Amino acid sequence: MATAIERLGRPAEPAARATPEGSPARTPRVPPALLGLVLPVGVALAWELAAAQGWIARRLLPPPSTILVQLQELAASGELLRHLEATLRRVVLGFALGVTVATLLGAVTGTFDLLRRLLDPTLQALRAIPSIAWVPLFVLWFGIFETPKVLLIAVGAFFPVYLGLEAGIRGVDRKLVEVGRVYHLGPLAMIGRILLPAALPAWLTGVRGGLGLAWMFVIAAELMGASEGLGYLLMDGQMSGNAAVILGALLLFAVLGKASDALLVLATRRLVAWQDGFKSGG
Amino acid sequence: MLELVGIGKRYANGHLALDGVDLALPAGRITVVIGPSGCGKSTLLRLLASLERPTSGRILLDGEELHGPSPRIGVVFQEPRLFPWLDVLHNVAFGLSRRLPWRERRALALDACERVGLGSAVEALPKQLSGGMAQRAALARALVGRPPVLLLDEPFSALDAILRAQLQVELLRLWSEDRPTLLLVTHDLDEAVLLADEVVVLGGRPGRVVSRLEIALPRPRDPRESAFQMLRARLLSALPSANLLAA
Repeated sequence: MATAIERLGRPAEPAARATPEGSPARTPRVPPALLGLVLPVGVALAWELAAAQGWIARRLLPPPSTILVQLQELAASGELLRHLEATLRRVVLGFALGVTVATLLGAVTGTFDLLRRLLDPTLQALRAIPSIAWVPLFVLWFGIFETPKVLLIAVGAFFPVYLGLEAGIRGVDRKLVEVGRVYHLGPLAMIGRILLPAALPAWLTGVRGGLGLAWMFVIAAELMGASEGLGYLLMDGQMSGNAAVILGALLLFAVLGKASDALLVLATRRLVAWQDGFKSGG
Repeated sequence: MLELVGIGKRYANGHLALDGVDLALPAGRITVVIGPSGCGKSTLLRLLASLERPTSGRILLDGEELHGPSPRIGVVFQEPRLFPWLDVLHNVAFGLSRRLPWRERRALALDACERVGLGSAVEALPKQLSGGMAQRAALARALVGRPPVLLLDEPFSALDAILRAQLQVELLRLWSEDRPTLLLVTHDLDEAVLLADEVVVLGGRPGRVVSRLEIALPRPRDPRESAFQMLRARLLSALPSANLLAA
């Protein structure tokens, strides 16, 4: 049979290629995560040394050891956990709200030209408003407690997700959409089975951006008046002239922001493993 | 039986791609449409696949006017057009109605994969497939619902000559199982003579049917035989650009 050639040569290929793909490119034996630690750890050591030698003013720029002790004290009193909880709760709620609304709107404006012409100009105009500018209005409407904070974060997370998904859907290969039309998919099936899966990488890029902005806006929200949260801790440090508290809070933001982003990437990696781009998937 | 009656297609930019095309595709036969590039042969297929609407004329499937995509018409494009996020099995199962339970769709898709020789690659993602395997998967997706009409738009033109020859033979084998009404668009003379019961030559601007050629050779056909070569030569001289080709 003519096909024997292909049958003999090919079938083993996918299975065999699935695992080692990508690994030959990563030549260094050091885990990449450790490589990323070199710079911060080096800076911390140099900083510690400079403080010990008296080259820098410890009151304004306390060394890492002092910051860690400060954080430990806050943790021991249970205060740190309370602040972390408050901030995380706001970020999670606001981020989830923003992503949900953005995904729904992005899906319909990306898919239906009529709805895009109807809604998109307004949304773009709203985007032009710096999100912090909403604060007075939100406070007026919802008071100074949790609601305006969560809403502000949601507004911040909304736009990157909306823009990413809308552009992603509009960029879906026409040829794949035609396959859907040949199989007479209705609009909902077209969105669910072709447009959203195809736009998933663009959506995820938007979600990552949205998460970053959620962290940014939680500070704005907490600086506008809060009795707990990392933003409150920042203000508290400023009021009491305690630089170690401020730096400790900044450190926590860095760790939390990076950790949540890494978690997001890890959780969604399998969803986009099908991509066949330069250094994607694998 | 698929019929085109007075089909014309003018695009929104004013370009008239087809004008007054009358064509009947007899049930259970292979009709090959051939013509120089720009003659509207792909437009013809896209009209039959309901990806474009004719600006004049009607398309009839078994006497009923076609108003949109039909599950009774399977399509294979020049490119595989597989969904990169689905493995081969799910890509093939995409060709089936979701009203069928997944267990049934899975069984049918597995069977279709076997029939095109992809039985051992059902879990592969499209990015892991060679060009030939990907086009086999696309063929399986079109065949899985066993549609009575199958449209193929230059399905093998992106493949190398050896693979193309293999897949042509396999297409004939698959066709002989259910004998769907088959329309294949190509610009390859040998492919036309090898596969067709009838070759329709499209030409001119706007595109019209310029001639039709019955290929009565028994199958399997051998391109080296003189009867094959004679038909090929007749087809060549029927092409509007034959003088150019001969030069």
